[in-house]
Amino acid sequence: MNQKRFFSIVRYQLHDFKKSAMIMYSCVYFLFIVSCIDHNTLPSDKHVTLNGMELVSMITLLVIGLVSFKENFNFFSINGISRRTQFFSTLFFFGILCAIFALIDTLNVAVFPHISNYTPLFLLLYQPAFQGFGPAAYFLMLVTNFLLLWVVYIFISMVGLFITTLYYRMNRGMKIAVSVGVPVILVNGINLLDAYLLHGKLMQWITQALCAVWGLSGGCHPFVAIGSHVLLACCFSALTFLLARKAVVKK
Amino acid sequence: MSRIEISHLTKTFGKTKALTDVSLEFESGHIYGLLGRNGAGKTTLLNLITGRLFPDSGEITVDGEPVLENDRALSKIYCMTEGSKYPDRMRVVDALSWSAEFYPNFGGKYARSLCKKFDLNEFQKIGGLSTGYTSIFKLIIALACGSEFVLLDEPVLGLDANHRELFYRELIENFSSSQRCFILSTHLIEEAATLIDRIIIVKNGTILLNEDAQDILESGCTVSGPADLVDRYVQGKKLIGSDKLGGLKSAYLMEPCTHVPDGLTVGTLDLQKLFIQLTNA
Repeated sequence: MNQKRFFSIVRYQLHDFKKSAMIMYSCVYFLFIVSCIDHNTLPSDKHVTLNGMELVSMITLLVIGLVSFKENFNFFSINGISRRTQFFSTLFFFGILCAIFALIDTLNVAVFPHISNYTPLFLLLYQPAFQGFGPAAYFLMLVTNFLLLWVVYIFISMVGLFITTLYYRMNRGMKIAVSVGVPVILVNGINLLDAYLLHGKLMQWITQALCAVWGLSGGCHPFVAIGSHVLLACCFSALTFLLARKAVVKK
Repeated sequence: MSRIEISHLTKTFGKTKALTDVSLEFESGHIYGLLGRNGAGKTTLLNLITGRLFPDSGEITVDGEPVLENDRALSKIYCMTEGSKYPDRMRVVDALSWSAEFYPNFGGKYARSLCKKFDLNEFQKIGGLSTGYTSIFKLIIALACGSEFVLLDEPVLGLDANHRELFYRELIENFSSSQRCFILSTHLIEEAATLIDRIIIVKNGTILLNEDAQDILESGCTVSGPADLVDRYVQGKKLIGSDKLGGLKSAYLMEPCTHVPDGLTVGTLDLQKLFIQLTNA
């Protein structure tokens, strides 16, 4: 793997998505500022609360993942870059981008709860795990928050990248079948199966699985969530690599 | 001397055989003309050379290294495709900068001088360029990329006569100074005939002809004059085609013209006529 080309791809992608990230954070900070003004000017019973702004980063990263294959694959291919180098540099790019997002969102966690009515996603889920341990726990909470956000963001961007790569590899018929079939199965199929055959057990299993993935079954275990998201991100990136390594440039 | 070696290359798309057992070599220091009718397999061959498609069988190497998934081998090749694969929102100047990132020998100053010569606005977005200027933009990158092998698929698509002339001049100058390998896939055979020194004709996915341009053109001739005289002269000779205008006729022979009677004029073989004759059958 040519190192110069590898890092050129990373820089290209960081440059490409810089504007989107800046627009997203401008909106987020606009909301934070409004929330701060509101917190410091209105009576306490009329405050607007702001929760889980990390979801905005997650949606942005999902979208970035979704738009990261076709155009880049064409552009890098005409510049004589192998699929393997393209894939691993894209992985590296997402590692950096997600770390930046996680760092900014962790700084927000450190600052905004003190000056506005903001509760971060991490505290909504895992606050009991860090209660009663003093200042050291606060620092540990911030580090854990960063690590969890980082791996969750990577997982989400990998899901986006996987979906777009899968669509690129499919022919028109398959695209229509998947675009119609998957929502029908998710919305109706699962509900019907659960209601008539499994008598509510399926939803119970799904809920239990989600709780297990997020480390919320039998207590608050953020490091379980970190581990499970690392595994999930690895699975999706491996699947994406299998799809991308045989992709061809289309007309 | 750098070399691309293609051995026993086969590629099918569904039931269509695009290339069948193709073996070829391209060396630096030559301008190849890759000629063929629509659907002959020229673009497929170029896409296989650059690893954009996977062959069903066969191998392509650059200086002995397999080209597939090999960054070092791929960095020695630049292929200008018919369609634009650059992001529409990217500006020309940014595309030049990024090309310099990916091709270490990219001539940035040379590219900018070409932009001036072709009147290409560097600050325009690629998506906003006309067909002709999109071709010019891609040609500029191809000429400036510094790669040892430059593959040009329909390079003059949408270019007016002035720009075509300018491109041919720049191509010759670039070739003279760099002695790289250019592979021109084009339908404008008459224009390309003055540039190429090796001719490769592809027909139905196979290589019909792979010869030195000078040799092939000198192995035949064109004889012109009054129709009856021409008809009498070509009797029993390897005739590959003829044109008639009023009482005058031009016949294209695949053998040297010797003992030509008075009243007839002899010229070199016309590449386009040879191509039509070979690919029509």
